[in-house]
Amino acid sequence: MAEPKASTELKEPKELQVLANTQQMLCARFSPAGDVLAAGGMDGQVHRWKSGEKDFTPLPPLPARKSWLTDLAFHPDKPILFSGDSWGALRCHEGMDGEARQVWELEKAHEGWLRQVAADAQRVVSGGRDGAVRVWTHAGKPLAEWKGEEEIFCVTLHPDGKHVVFSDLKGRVRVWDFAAKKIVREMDASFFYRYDRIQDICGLRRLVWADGGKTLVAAGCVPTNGATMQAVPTVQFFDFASGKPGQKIQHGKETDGMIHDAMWHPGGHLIAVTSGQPGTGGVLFLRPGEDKPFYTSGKLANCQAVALHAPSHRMAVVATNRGSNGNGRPPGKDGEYPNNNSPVHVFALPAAS
Amino acid sequence: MNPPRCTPWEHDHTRRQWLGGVGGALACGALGGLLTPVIGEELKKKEKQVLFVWLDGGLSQLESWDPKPGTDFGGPFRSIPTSVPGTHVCELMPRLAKQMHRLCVVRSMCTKDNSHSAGVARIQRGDPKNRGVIYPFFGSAIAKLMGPTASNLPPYVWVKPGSGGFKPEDGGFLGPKYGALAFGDGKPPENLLRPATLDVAADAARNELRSALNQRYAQRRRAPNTEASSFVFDTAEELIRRADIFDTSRYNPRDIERYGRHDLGQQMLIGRKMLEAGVRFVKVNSYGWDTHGDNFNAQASLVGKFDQAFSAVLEDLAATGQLEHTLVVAMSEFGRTPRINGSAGRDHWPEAWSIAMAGCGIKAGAVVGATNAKGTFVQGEGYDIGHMFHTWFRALGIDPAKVEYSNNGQPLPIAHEDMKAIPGTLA
Repeated sequence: MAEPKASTELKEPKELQVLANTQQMLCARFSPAGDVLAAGGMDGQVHRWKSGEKDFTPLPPLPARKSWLTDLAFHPDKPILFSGDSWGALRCHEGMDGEARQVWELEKAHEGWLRQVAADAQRVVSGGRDGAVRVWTHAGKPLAEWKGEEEIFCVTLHPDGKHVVFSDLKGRVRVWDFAAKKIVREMDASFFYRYDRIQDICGLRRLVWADGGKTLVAAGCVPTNGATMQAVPTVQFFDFASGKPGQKIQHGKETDGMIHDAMWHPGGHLIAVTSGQPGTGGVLFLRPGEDKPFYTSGKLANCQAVALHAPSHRMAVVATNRGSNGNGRPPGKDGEYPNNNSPVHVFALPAAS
Repeated sequence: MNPPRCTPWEHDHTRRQWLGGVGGALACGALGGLLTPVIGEELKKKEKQVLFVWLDGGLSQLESWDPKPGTDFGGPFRSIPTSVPGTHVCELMPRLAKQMHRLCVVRSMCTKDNSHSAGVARIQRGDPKNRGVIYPFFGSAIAKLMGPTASNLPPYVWVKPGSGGFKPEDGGFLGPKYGALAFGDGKPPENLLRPATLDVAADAARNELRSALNQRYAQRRRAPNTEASSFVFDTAEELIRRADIFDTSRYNPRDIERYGRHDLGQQMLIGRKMLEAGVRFVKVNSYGWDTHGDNFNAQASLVGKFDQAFSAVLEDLAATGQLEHTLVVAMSEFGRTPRINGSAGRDHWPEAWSIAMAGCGIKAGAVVGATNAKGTFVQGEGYDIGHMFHTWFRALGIDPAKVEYSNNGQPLPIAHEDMKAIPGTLA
């Protein structure tokens, strides 16, 4: 992908293109080369766009599934995509930059909702509602399993390749040496959890590595209410070596909801997207040591996912159409009951960021 | 102790007879405000009861009784088979799936209100035609139409999270006497139980004095309020005698685990104890179902607890034979939108939703009505809450075509007169 000339002149993200689609998306990632953007969600498909000189153009989507596509992870060096779905399947596709084909599928990788997938050059890790965290080879062979009582919401592989870090419904973050099959450290992020009336609310939604793995960033929200989901977007930094909590940043109001997705920019800051009550949400750039985001944008509603390709200074934000909510909404003019959709906004980032 | 009150089944007058003047000389009070109380001795013997489970805010039909996996609005969950071949429910209800042969699910509810403020009351009052009066909640209606059981415990008890006390407003035009006695957080109203420092004889003397004072007070006041006050005291006396009902320390620990240690589980268990003790109508309430945001994680948490508590009570009522004479209903004020909003939530949707029932007079293992493939609208005839009131009354042996309320002599139907019981729901 050509280096965007404008990026060195930008002071803040500049929207380049909106990739319209008819469905609601939940996850998005760039391929390692940055030439393909993949996104998926409630229609069970992996949608793809190929970058050109100026624009992203659609590639044929991968075959639809009946489940939700819940998370995506690219191989760090190759156009190989691992994806998980809400019915527990884990899949691997290669050739994502062209004629993609499914290499393997584990239909029962988890019992029910597979929430997150992460991959490094050697392995894939997945976590789900069944309370299991599983490590797989790139060929889909099981390597290790950890099973607990609570639902797993977040999983990530440490850059050292030895540890899987995951968090559960109640905000317990565990560092797992999967080869030795033991938990080597726990980190307390339980303030991300709330029990409201009879609802367990998990506010911790994404674990991100910073500083080459020295720092773990836990992103999500501190919930104040269930049902309508009142919550304040929140980030907690942890020192990975000691497990000690560092800085905690909260930004916004209770209606701003939660950070649904986040990525670490090699320039030294976190890019997070938020979704709160319908119509609210946005993009935050947070730098450790500062108590407020140095960039915020509330122009996009209900952002569900962010994809970053730092070398090409590209960011894609999966947002939601305006006016997405409504009680007892009548059918549209065509008599059909309208669904919502997730426009994908592609931005050029300032070179410095 | 007051003499036994006049109960509806002690009168066997037809409306024609009443209107013909036979009952003209009888004060409305003598009939307890019913024009045509035709509920007979047989009904009294069977001691029909009601368990009414209210999930306040709106249970998602798509994440419970009417799953549409793999469709545009179906959500992330799978459906699972049930004990009724061919019938599936959402995977969040594995225990209730095994109870499906006891349940009757109406999947074609189509009601009018999409706001809580109007919906909660209108639904629980049966949304009759506007008669210029406020209709009673279902519990109050049953308290009126059927009275207390032979246990003489309060006829309408509401086990709920939060505050308790007497809720006279539920009674509507029937008057405060038919309101709900609410057990906030499952506990009896404050100061209900006799303090340890007061012995039984002293307590009885005080009650005698209170009763005498009440009678004198009542002579100069409007009857409904003083009647309600006396009624509450009388039934409270019974409750004091039955303090074991809400003493959870005496419950079987296994039951506590089976129902779930959460509020809904524990309060459902208290509800079951109240039914066993003979309360006519028990409402068990859960709040926090208005999942406008993060609906799917919320439903996973909420429905799981409902599945645990509701399946446990069904199991127990069936095991003791009590289900045969207990009407069980689980519902909300509406369902939730098929469309998923930007906050991954579902909004209010009265257009197409589901209600589950079981027990007394209800056809077990039935699924009545359907929504279209995407679950957006009812396919075929939709049913309003008035239809449900007809269904429930008939299930309890009360014929809405024959029984009417009397509002100071004005005859009023007990359920929407343009509607009737839903075909296929009654045994």
